[in-house]
Amino acid sequence: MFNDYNFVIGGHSLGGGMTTLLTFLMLIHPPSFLKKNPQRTFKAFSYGGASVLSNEFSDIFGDVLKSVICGNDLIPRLSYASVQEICKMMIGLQNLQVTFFKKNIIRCVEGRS
Amino acid sequence: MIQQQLKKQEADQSALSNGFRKNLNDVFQKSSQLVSKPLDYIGDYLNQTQSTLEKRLLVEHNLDPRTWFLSSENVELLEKINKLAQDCFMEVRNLSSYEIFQYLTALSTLQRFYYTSTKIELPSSQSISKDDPQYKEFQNIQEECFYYSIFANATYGDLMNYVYSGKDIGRVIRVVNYDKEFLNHVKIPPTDLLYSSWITQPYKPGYCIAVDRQSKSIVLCLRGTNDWFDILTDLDSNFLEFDILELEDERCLRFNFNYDFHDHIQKKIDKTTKYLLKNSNIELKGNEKILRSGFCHSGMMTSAISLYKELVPMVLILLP
Repeated sequence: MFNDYNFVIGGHSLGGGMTTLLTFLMLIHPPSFLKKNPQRTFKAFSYGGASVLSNEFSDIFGDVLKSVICGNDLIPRLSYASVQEICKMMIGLQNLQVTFFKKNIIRCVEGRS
Repeated sequence: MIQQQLKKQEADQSALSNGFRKNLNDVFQKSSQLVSKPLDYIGDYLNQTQSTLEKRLLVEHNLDPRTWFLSSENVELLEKINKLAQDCFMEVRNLSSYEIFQYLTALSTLQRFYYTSTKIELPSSQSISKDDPQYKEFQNIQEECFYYSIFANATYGDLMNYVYSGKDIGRVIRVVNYDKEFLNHVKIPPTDLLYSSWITQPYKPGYCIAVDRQSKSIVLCLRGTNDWFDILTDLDSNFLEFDILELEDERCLRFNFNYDFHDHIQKKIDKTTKYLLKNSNIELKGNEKILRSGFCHSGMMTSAISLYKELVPMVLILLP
């Protein structure tokens, strides 16, 4: 009935993250409906999808997946690793600030006395 | 002299922040009692003899009172979320208020730096000629993305109407017939909605399969966060390490279980990877190559694997 039909996946936010992972699994373990018919196209669209995979796997997707991100959206950028990185950078900057401020305070006090 | 002054300053700061810290401590202790040691919390309301009797009975019969109100999956998820909150906020207790101020200034400088350095300047519309092959490709992709975004939006039911009208969603009790709203939004005949499961569980978002006659395609639409259970899958956001192995004629995934996963989820992955790996216990012989290795979102990966297992036989019937 649907012999010459194509296959499309689409989703938003949590669904967008799920589309990326489902396409990832389907490209690694292609089911028989993708193997047998080379004419059948397989497309995936993720709208503001959550950040799910690390950067090493990005070239596996090729032309299949298209992800749409609107401006400075938070959800596609937020993950455990990104928060950890920000914390590390904050701690580094804070250490710099501490040394800088201590030097300045000492200078001021010495100047007054 | 200078050192004494600095010490005085620190003492003042610590005295100021002590009250704040005490409040935080109380909150954390209560939350940890509620989640990790409910026995003691319930025991406050009982006599000594009653509580000792209950504890003895529970230990003898291997019972967990948390499972009377919640399913075992949800208890595990709550523990996980509590752990994540502790990881994030445990160090806040030992900070003085001045250090918190310093961290916030550091964050603002970081924000300013990235806002100025990573601003992408889009080319203006006049500089692009419309006969460019690149421009036409881009336009095609744009139209395609817009076309299928209607399907993705329609899975939320009538939520989009509230968003566009500007009403307060929190005060409206919504009883939604998702099938009806989906068909209204996409404008396809009701026979073309082949399958739909809108009721969510942890690790199982809502989705539907529809036929689109106009573009000759079968569309699988996945819904975003719409329920408490979806929020639980979002919050299970620890990272999971895995490799792609290349065997003789196929590829497979191998997960590392070094992280402290709960038994229930580990079983779930084990069951599903049998399907993906074909042999649950692959022994490496030296012929296999590791193609890539990286990380992924643990909650989403478990739900994606279980969805893959559900969906592929269904789609195989439609597309032989």
